[in-house]
Amino acid sequence: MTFQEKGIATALGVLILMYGIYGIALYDMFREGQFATADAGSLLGKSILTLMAAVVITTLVVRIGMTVIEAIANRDAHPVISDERDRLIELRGLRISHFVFAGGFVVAMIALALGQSAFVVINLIILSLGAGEALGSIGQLYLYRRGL
Amino acid sequence: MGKRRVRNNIRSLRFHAGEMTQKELADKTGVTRQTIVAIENAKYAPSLELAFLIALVFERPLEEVFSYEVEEGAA
Repeated sequence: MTFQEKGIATALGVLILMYGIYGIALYDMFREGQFATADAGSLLGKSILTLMAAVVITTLVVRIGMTVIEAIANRDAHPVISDERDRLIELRGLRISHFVFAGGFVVAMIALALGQSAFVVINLIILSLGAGEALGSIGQLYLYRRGL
Repeated sequence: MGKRRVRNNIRSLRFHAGEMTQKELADKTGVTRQTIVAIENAKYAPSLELAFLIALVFERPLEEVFSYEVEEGAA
């Protein structure tokens, strides 16, 4: 596995972990009736912002750690660069992410049109964002293995 | 018309260029070794600029390094 592939796989792992924790926390809060109060919107917003911050910070910390370990393990190696193939694969992954998110957004709007609550709609959008990121990363890993 | 793919004889050219390694070719062309591996295995078609750079390293015309052939097994 190349350094880029390791980075993508790590980011994917962090994303799944953070979304899992978010899902469990959300479920617990929902069961306790915390989203039945007047502050439900504010609570949901804070939860989502916490999720986003957690994903970004954890991914950053893990990536920095990986880079340091890689540098120590391969002292004599040349610095890792991102070339045209890496950029092309990244763009293809981004396209997959955008399509998935767009599809999820449409589903969320259909849910809204059918009378679903803001809680459901917002979480559908957040879920499609995460699914887009995950599928984009999986797409990139697939392209690195199979070739373009 | 069958599906075509960009093919090359970079491996052979590297051998005849003083057994140049993939890493050395990658350094001379400004890409990663993995990209050179992918190109040699026809898993990645390089950009025009990179193709020209590779041909320049071997001091050969582009068409001697790369070819656009029908894929094996394609109709």
